[in-house]
Amino acid sequence: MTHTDIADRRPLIRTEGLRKVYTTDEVETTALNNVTLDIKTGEFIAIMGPSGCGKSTLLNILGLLDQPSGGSFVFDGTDVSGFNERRRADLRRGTLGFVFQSFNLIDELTVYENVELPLLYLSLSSAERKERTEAALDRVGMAHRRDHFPQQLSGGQQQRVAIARAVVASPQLILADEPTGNLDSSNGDEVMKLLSELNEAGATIVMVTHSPADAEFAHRVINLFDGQVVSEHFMEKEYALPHQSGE
Amino acid sequence: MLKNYVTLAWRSLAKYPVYTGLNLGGLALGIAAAFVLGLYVNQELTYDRHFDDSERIYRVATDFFDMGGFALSQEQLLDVLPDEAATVEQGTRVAGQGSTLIFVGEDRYEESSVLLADSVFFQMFSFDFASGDPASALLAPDGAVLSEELARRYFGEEPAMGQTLLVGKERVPHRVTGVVAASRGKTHLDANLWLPLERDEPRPNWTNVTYYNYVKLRPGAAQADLEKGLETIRRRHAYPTSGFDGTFEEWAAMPWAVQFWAQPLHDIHLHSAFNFERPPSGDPLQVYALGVIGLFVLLIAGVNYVNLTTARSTVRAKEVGVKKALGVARHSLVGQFLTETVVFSLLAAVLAGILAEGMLAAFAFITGTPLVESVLTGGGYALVLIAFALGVGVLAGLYPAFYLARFRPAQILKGGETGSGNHGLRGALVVGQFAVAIALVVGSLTVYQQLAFMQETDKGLSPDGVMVVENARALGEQLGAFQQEVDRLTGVERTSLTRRVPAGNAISMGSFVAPNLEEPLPIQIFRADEDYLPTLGLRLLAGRNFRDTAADSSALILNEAAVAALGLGDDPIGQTVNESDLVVGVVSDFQFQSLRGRIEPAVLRYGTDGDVLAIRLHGGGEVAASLDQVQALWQTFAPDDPIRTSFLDDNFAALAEQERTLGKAVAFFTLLALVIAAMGLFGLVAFAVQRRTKEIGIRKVLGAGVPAILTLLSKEFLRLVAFGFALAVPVAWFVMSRWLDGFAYRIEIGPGLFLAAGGLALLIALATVSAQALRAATADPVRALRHE
Repeated sequence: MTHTDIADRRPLIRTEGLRKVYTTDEVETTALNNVTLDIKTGEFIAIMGPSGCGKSTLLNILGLLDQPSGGSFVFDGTDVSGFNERRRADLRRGTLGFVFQSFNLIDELTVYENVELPLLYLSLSSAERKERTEAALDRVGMAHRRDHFPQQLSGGQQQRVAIARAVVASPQLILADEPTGNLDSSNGDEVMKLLSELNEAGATIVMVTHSPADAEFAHRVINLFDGQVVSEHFMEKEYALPHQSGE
Repeated sequence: MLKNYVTLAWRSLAKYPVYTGLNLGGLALGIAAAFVLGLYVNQELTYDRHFDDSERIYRVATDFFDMGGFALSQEQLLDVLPDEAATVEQGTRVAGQGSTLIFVGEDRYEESSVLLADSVFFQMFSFDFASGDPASALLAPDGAVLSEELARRYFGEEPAMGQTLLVGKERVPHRVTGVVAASRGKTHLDANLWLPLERDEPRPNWTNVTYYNYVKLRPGAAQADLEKGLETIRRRHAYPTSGFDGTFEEWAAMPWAVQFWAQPLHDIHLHSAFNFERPPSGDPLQVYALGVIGLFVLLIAGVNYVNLTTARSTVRAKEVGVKKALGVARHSLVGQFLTETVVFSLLAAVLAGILAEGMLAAFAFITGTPLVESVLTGGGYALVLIAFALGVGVLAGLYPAFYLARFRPAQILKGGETGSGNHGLRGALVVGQFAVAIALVVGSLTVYQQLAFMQETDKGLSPDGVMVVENARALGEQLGAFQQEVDRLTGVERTSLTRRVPAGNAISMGSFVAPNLEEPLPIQIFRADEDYLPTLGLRLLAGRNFRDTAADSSALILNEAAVAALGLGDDPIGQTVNESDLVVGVVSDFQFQSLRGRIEPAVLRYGTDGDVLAIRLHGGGEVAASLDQVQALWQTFAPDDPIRTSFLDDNFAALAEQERTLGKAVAFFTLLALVIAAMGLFGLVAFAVQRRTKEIGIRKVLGAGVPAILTLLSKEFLRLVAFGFALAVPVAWFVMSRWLDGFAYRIEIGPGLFLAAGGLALLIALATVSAQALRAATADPVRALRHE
């Protein structure tokens, strides 16, 4: 698959002139300045840039956790930039999956219960919840640890559980914020392979990362600096999607 | 979903047992205390209200000779009242009876809670009968109505109805005609045994009180109608027999004329303080004070809950963030946290039920007076308790629920600093808690100091070692012989036969005229023989004691207040009052009635016809042995009549009983409030230490010593306590000064008292804070830093 392929795909995210300004008592900080993006379904995007360049802010806005100060944000054909918290929450449910640097598993819930959590809010039958949870655990290879609590797992295992949780509801978009940041290189590699597999299976992924090695897994890398997109390039590597042969 | 809520709630509670224990324990303790106090307040406010038509029932109180009013009234009152007040539907006469001997078969009992009542009594007061017919139970002169408790004590499991008991030393047979159910509402007319009342000889005058007279008005009648009838009785009956020369209006204007009051039944327990009230009278001040304290304790516990729950928000923040990222709406999270609160409150309710029971037992043990009956006996109470706990829990849980649900996921999920809470609010709440706790401590200390002051202050006599034989009258003709024998006992210093001792039950009043007085003045009279002064330790200031001569039959000894009231000037000795009574001596003022009010004028009049025997025992002698001697002697004189004795110092102590009960109750719940506040503080400090682990580690790496860390952690909290102190001082000072204003002889609230209260609070706070601060300060900094 090349970028020409991707250009034919259905757009999932389109932003134009996206701005985010934080105001405190004394200073006004512009975290995002005129960011225009176009992300298609099935893409794997890496967002890179130095600390404080606005990567996380962008990810939070794309993940509907935060509201832009200006500009437009069309998600799957709907302009969501003016959505209030309630509508954003409704949209997040089942549509988005998150993977965090610090895993953010709930310590009081078992592996199984953590993965099942998103399904609880989707009014599914318990049989279906069970089936999908087990499938997600299988997919990340954590089924044998289903009754453990997060603290009993290694970092890499915890992140795999977090990924299972992110995909269990079959979201349209997976947002990953430095998913390997707290992992050693071999565990990090495994997590990246897992994300890559998910992408090959059809998931759209937007990932913030510091690591050029991780960025290698993406189709496209967007570089941010001081809240602005400074460069954007497609990886040279070719990718093969199962349902579509490359050139 | 609910299962998930409960699982999460349960696991996160179980994971932090200290936090859970503190929060649950504090909340349960607060709920239990407030519940118990609520029951008490409710009990006191609903006295006598459970009777059918209770709002139509009144008691008639009277006064004459300006004696301070009587709960009892005239023997013949009900003979004429229905004719003079058409609104009266029925009336009943009741009389209290002292300790009574009861014989059942071979067994002999002494029953102190006995009422005599006419046959209308149980028609007017709808007591719940376990067996027997209320309308006819007291109709026959040999009837007897027992409480269920007494029936069980006398007859065990056998049915009591129809059984015979013999009453008094004369062993008059009575048949059991009714048994009153054990669970009955609170009433000032409660007893263990009700016997038919036999009427005294009719009296022609209206200056004697015999019975408690109750009337029930017809439906729709007003108190004013009854009052009009009573006024008619004054005019048509009391005034004509008074022997007064002037018109009715002139007589009626005299302070010593016969007066009546119609007292609504509902007001008697709390708001009537006449002579000869049926004990125990309620104390409105205590009811309000304990009610307010109950609210305060609840407030402190509620604040704990809010503080601990929001302080723990760090722990829950991640969960909120994750759930929000998953698209869970805020109201759904609020719902989840409120569900948790409900579960938590139910747990607290169970614990509170147990604690309330323990609290009541502890209260009864420590103070000697049960506050209310057991909580767990009434099934209805349990439901009320649960509803109460839920109400409190949900109310206290609202703020934390919204607070937690408000967290913004973006920051939290980045793994950085979580919403560690609204410090300002939490600080303010701690300040409030300690302000309330310190104010309560000041209150308790003031009550105790005043109490000590009342006990230690000079009473103008020496009550220690003075024993009183209250029912010496029972010996009849043999009284003189008994007194002579008592005088010979080794443990006895001297004895006096009198009609009245200070702090006793008798009241006697006479009207006095003096040259400088425009109108006759009613003054308290003590009939005393020549041994009265030395026996009671009254101090003669001028003149002489009584002499055992006929000439002294018109001699008087006055206290200083009486000298002043009668306007006898600086040299009262030898002056004449009441035309022929000669003042022969002056004693220093002595207390004899209330310890609240100013010492009133008193006149000692010579007389040898006393019926109360006062005995001064040898100082330092063995009181118990002397008491045994007197009792043994009494046995030989009146084997069938138990001797009734009291000690003068006990009787004086009893005068301050209300203040003492108040002091104990306030102190008890103040202590509780302090404990709960300390628990909350402990929890907050624990979280502060947890939150600042990294900071402490960095400071230590940079060279901070243990004292510096201790100071750092303690300062913040001790400052809050100090603020609380500043807030408490003016309020406590104002309230307690108003309370002390009710006493003629009172302490002043000095700075020492406030310092003591503040010191106590500070000490508790310091102990709470420093233990944890010390642990944090001595912890290995490397571990703290690696942890991050």
